[in-house]
Amino acid sequence: MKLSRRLFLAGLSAASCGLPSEEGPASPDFPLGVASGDADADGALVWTRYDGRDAVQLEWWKRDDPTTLRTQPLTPRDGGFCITALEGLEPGTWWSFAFSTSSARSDEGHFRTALADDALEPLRFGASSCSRQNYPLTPFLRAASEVQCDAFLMLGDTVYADGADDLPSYREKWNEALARRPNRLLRASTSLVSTWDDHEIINDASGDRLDPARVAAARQATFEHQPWRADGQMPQRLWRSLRWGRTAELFVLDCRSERNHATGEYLSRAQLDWLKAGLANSPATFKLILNSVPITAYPGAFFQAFAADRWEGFPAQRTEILDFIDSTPIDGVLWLTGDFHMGVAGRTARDGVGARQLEIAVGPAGNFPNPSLSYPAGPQFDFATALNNFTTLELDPASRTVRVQFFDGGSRTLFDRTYPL
Amino acid sequence: MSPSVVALAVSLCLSQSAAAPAPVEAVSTARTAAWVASAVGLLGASAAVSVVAGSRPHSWLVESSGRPVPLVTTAGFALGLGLNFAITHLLLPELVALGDSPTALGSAEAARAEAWKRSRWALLGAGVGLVGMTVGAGLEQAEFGSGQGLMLAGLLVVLVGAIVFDVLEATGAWQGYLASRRAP
Repeated sequence: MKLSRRLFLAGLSAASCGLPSEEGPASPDFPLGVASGDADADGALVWTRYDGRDAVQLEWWKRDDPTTLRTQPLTPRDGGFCITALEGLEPGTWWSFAFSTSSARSDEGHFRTALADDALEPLRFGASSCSRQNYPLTPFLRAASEVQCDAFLMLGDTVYADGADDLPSYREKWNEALARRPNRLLRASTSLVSTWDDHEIINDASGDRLDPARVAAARQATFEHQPWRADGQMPQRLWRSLRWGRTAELFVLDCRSERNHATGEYLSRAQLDWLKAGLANSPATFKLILNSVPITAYPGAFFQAFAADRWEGFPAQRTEILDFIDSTPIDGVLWLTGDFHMGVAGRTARDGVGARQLEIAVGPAGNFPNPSLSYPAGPQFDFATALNNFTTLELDPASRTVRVQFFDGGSRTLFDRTYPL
Repeated sequence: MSPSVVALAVSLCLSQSAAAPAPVEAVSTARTAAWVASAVGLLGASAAVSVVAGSRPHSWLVESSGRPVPLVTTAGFALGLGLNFAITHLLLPELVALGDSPTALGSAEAARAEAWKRSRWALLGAGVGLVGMTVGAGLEQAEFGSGQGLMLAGLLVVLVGAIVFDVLEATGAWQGYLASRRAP
């Protein structure tokens, strides 16, 4: 579409009004704001929900160069969801986007395209989990306003959909969560890489023990609200990987819907084999595994009481993947997890298999603290906090180190350590 | 309804018939009901105050520093247990005066003595649980994971001991009161 001077100026004017307001979204027709996700070197998915009836148009431009504005008409899907892939963009560059109609304009969103395949440069990712609807989400406000992350990793429990059991009720839960200002600001600030955990379905969800219709409804609602790239061959598949040049590759796991207690499978055999092959063949310096429930072995009665819900409840597969990484050996592996209502930095085992692998438990962004009477401590663990928080991971391929920082929702830095990987 | 309240109600129903040989007229149903209601209310209030006060050191540490200190958590449980003992043992026997009538008066001291006679073992049990928690907390602070089992076992003993203590205090106080009733 050719851009006239008048349209360009109108766009700029609208853009200045399209910033997220103090309370509500820029337009009630776009009540959940905007988001982007699964960025690659060529582009990213962009997302919104439109509640009106007019024709919708997507606008995007280089963040620092409005003259690059481009537009494209969009047809919302059932429920008003607008999800489309922007392609053909330059790698490693920041882009802005918004959705508009003849009478309304959404918030503006921003994302950085992933690095070119052969690029090797530092990256900073944000990360968190466990953002319950009725808790303050001040860490998200801080993350959106104070830290420029190349992408933000959501380790699950983005919504607490407990009680929902069909598509309308799951959609309502998502609506409650994403209409909140902290969520809108964070999701607009950078692209997301996210997985789901149990509360996107129901507490302690395990795919083989749930009504398939319920899981299907939860899955559809999640796909509708999270900008995820669906697999061409298996569109219902959640697990996928994303490359950020030769600096990092992100392996996103589905730790909930493919469990099979009868066969002792925490991940399906296909998913586990895919992960092993991906780790072994990745050209990236850092391999980040987004794993919604900890793989770390937590000692003690408090933590063992609930071990059946995580990797420890599936010991054969846990040992298999940790041993594979140890014995291959594969360098640069960093496990990331959520679920625990507790931020933790530590090794996946105190000794033996996995003792040299690092796992960072991120979050909670807004939730009650882990109720344990004792929290992880040395020598296996370097840090643990139940304060609501978010994490940043600064990946430096030159020194092969990752700087891990935890921040609360105020002004405190809770933890700051650099680990060699 | 908590186990202690159920046990208290059952015990009191039985005590109505067991008190038959009393030298004075039996306590009226209305006075018994008034005492039961007061005792249940006091036990509930005591439990609430104890839980809130006892958990405060733990939650304050978690909210301010982000993590608990097991020995402080255990000290909080000791505080809660102490408060529960103090409130229950000092005040509950005083409530038996609700059973008094113009023709029969009982003794709060007798009620307290009988309550103590029955409940002290439960308190001792809770104390043993507290010692277990303290040892577990000490181990846990020395090495993460090493004392959680003992802390958990001690916690269960403390909770069970506190519930049994409340039940025996209430039933003991009432039985002691009934036995002490005399004409004025």
